[in-house]
Amino acid sequence: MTAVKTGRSTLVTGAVLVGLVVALALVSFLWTPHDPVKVDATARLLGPTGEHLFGTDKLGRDVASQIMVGARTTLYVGVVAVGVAAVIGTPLGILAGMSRRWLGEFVMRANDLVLAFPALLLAIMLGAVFGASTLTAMIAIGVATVPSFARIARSGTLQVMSSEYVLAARAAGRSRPFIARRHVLPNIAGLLIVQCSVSFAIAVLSEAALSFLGFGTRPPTPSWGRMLQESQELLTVQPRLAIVPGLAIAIAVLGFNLLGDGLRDRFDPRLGGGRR
Amino acid sequence: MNAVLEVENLTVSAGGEPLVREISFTVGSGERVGLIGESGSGKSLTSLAIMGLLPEGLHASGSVRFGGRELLGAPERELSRLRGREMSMVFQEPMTALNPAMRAGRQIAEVLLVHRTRPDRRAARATTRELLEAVGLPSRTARAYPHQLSGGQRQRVLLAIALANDPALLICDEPTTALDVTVQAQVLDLIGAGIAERDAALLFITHDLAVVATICRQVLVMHDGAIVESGPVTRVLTSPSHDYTRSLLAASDLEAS
Repeated sequence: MTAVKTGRSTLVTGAVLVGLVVALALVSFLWTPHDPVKVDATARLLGPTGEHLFGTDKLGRDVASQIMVGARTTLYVGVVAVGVAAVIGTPLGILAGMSRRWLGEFVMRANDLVLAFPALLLAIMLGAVFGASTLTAMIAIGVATVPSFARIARSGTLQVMSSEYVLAARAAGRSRPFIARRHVLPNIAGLLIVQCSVSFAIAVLSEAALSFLGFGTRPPTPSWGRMLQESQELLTVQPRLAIVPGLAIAIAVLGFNLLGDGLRDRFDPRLGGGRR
Repeated sequence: MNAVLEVENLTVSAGGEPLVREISFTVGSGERVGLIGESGSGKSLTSLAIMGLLPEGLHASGSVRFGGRELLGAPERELSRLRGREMSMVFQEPMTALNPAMRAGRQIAEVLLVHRTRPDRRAARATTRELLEAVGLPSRTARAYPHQLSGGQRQRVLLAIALANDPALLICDEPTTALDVTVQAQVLDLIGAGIAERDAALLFITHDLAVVATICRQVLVMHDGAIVESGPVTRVLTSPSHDYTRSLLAASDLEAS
């Protein structure tokens, strides 16, 4: 009973935090307190006031407005990177886990090849070739995350495939694609959801790092990661400039992690999510 | 009585080493044949070889004919059309033989839909309810996940799945070993009734002589990968001719006393 309750409160807390980020992003399309990219030399480094809720940065831009528009970037980043990784990695992992030995080996060795390549280096390379943008950066982060999805999907698949219910399913005449869809996928969904939430956090942080290096979101488009990096030189005089985007990133990452855990508990009937 | 399953000189080997050696037997429709022997004697491998479900690395040779068709070496597509429809299987461990992430009813309905023996989901659901009733479970069991069912209930669900398409051959691999004695008797009754109703052939694998005596008329005694004795249950269990059968009987007598 308590397990069910904690599972539910995790889900609710996660959903509220993620909902907050989504709401900020949606509202920013319609309204922001100020133009987030407007430079105002007369209003530099103002403290929090009624006019500027979180103050202004070194160029006089409104921090609250930047946070709101930055939420879009954060969601975009997470969805693209995790989407690319999950959509490519999961089928590859299931394929590797279900197919004959040599094919599985081949997929996993190719996987190791990608794994050996540092994600940021890949992103910088793609950025250099295709031009730096949030999209290329995130596709690169997504591709670099494919191996971790493939690995997790494969190990889960191997476990499911060795279970008696798969043998029973085969004894009942079910085809391999059917077993992959109905038996393997639902039983490894919990693992994958947790992996999604972890990857999301990594993607947001990677975007921040790439933006700092000039290979991610280009100025002036607001990004929480770049706000954080820009605040560096003023850390001792204006810590507020680091704290606000830092908190925003923390809330988003925590929200997605909690949501991931909560969804896993809900999807897994053994953990009490099943209703009778 | 026509032969449903004819096994001839079936050998299962792992890298050249034989684990099942040249066994032959037939099971006719309506016939109930028990396959007994200690663990590791090759009983389960025999059943997996018949179903074409041997694990990678094991190789079967000889001949397994089902309704006149040769199964060994038959393409996987053909086999999966037969499995679950013409021949089906009940496994030993009811705790692991059901998908934990799928409701029981859906797992029954799916075997009907996979083989297209019912036109749509509605018809399959209706049949699912009938099948559940036939194995003595309330129809609301369909909504339950496997972890919400007891071992006996799960084994009944598995039996419902195995019997769903009225197979000509049912293979039971120690279906009652994991159950307690009273539930065991109920499940055995259900298996017997299900078989009789469909005039299906039964190959019943067990190490429990009492169970064989209850459900089977013919019995095959397996030892070290070979069939050492066969015949009617009454004769084999009362006047065994092979030493191994005698020692099996002696061992079970010891247990009983």
